[in-house]
Amino acid sequence: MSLLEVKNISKKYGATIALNNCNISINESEIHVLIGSNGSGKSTLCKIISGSVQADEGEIFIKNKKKIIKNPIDSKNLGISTFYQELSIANHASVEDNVFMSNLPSKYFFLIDRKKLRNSALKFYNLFKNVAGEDFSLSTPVIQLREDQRQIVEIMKVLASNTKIMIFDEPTSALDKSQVECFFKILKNLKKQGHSIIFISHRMNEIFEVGDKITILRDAEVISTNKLSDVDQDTIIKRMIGEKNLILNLKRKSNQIKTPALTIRNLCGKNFDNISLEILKGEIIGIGGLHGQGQSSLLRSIFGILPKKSGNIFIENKILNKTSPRKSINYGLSYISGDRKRDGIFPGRSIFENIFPIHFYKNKKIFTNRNGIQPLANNTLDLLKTVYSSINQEITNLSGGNQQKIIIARWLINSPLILLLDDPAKGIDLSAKADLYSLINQLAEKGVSIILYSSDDEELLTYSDRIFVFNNGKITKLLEGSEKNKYNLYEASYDN
Amino acid sequence: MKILFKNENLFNPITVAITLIIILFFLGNFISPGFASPNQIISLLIVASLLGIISAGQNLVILGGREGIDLSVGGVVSIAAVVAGNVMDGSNAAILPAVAVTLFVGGFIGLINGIGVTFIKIPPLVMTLGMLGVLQGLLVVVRNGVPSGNAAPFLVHFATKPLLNTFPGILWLWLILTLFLVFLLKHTVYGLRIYAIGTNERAAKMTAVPVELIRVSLFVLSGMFAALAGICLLGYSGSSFANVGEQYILPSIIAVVFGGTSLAGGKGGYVGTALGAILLIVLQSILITIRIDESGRQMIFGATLLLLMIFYGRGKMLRS
Repeated sequence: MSLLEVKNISKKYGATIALNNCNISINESEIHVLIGSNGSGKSTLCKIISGSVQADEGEIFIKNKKKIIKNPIDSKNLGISTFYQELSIANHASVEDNVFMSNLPSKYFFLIDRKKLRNSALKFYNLFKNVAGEDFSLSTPVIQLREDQRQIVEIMKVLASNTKIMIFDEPTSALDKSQVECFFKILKNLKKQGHSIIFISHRMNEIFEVGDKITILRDAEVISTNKLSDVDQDTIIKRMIGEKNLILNLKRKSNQIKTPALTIRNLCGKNFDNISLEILKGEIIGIGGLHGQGQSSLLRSIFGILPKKSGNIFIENKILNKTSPRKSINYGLSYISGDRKRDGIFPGRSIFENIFPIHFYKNKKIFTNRNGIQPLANNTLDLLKTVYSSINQEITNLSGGNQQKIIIARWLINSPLILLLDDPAKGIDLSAKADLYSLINQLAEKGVSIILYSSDDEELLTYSDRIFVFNNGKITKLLEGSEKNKYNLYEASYDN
Repeated sequence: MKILFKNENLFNPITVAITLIIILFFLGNFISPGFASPNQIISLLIVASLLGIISAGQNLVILGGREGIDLSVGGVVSIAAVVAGNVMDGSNAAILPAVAVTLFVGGFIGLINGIGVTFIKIPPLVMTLGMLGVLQGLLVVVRNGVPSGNAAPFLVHFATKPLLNTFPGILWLWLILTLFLVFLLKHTVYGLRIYAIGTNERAAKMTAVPVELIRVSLFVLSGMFAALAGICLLGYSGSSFANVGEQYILPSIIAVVFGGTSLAGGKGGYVGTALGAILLIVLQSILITIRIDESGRQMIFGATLLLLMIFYGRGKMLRS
């Protein structure tokens, strides 16, 4: 009997369709796996079921009764609890407080019943006692815990709610093997007791180990739902990428200079480990894989925003010992971030002020010379087809895509030697994307070296000469030539 | 749509301040004829210039963002008046050394504030409040109740009498400072970098802006502006009193906010602040005319700041 049924759900964010007419049904005593590439709609679907996002259209049925879920509280009352990818734990509270955060046992109406809390928390603690590490105790403040231990706290929190339906959105991303095994044992037990579980993971072997059914999403639509015993890994990947599996490549005059522009040896840092790669002059290198596998951290460490732990960075033959953005800029590095709100724009300031900071620095300017330097930017802004009325206009009055173009122009007008692109086309429309990449191609023809990370695999495959696939902070595969296709990229991203 | 928003200009802080100043002058003249006479206006402007110079430093610190504020200006003004008075001690010849020493002292106090805020990461409110306490205590210890230090005659003339048959020197000084600050903030890379660290410190760091250095320099400048105001105040009143500077702390912040500078940093400029200073002094003068005593004026000023915050708080919400 189906416990949870979602019918014809659609959701749009502005012009982007996140979910289009999706149907999914989850039975009692079932572990139901959702899989799909970045932005296929898995997380949106979970968020709609758990009430943190509202669907534009569609209905939700629980035990065949139509229910309206307006917020997370509604969802909880209907017996749904969720493990959030971005963890919903209070950093300074202890493990036990976090586990029972929404339902602390009380005495005399308002005091927390510490004894009762400890007793009930102990039950969940014991489940993970052997795998969570020695420094893991119920009274430890969460802030002192490692990433995997925090994930365990979040898992315990969902378990403690003891609801009929539990959603786990990538609960195992930081867990090690023994922790995953322990968690799966718990899941299987829950299933036996009649719970229904929605499970998202990017690790193929986990999916086959624990799942009963699998629903594949692609481009905001549900592609298929099958019993896991009826499908194999190959079929799943093929369905995830769809029919088109072309080897794409943009023609570019290949320049025969084989001198390395940037060499990285055994670089370790936050979220990545032991990375070695070499970029030639005029080459475009892609770094791919699923979201947050260390790609962005690597770029930030090269540029000097994040510290590196060990390893060496060479620019041509010079070793770069201590890194900082200033030093990197002196060496001709540029870093364009797709997160323009955080790393890019000076909100409320003019386009002029947003475009020229690097120019001022590189040319050691004291005065701004407003009229004199404006023409420097015109060419690049035109090439990117930036829409603006005056260079003195506030940047925040432009659309998001145009703001991003200003940030791109900020770096490109200073003739960079090495471009680090961290999802640079985020939020800009398709034609602008094409303009951006043709500009990048031109730069490469002139001998500029480019490292491109993109959350859009299509872009990555189209524009890069070689692709390093990242998984869990490590390079797991290098794709070049005819190997460089979507199938191989997905296989390397999902393989464990 | 754009045309509809044109009347945004009507409500920009500078227009509002000018309008209010004119209204207040008319009101003052109505209550007490002669309020808006040229001589009266000039003497009000002299008082406003003292506040204006202090607010200049306050303005810079606030523009630099990260909750920037300088409460120690009051203490610096008092200390500066004492230091300058003692160094010159009534002699015209000693004016230049006195100015140099006093500016150095102000700058040094600012440097400590800046280092505390930037490198030790003490919130500016706490850092400068602590500094204010230290300075006030220091005043009591150093002077031990004995009045000391006199203004040089030229300094008194500079701050009160017309210079070469025009306006008093202090007004010229203020005008030059205003022009300088407008140029600094608009046409120098340093000025743009102040806005950059005030609006997005992370992005500033990534574009090679020396964030720490600039933030420290803002506090140094604030200390020096307050010290300059202390010297002028010495000339204005002839000798220094205990804690003369304290009364300027709150108004220096109100003037900045009135002038359209956001307390969140990165937005605003000095022209508005200067007008804000004039507005506050005219308002204060009217309140004195209608016999509202010191405590009443304090309450009105405090309430004004809170009202302004409600206004600008709303604006900020709408923006995001």
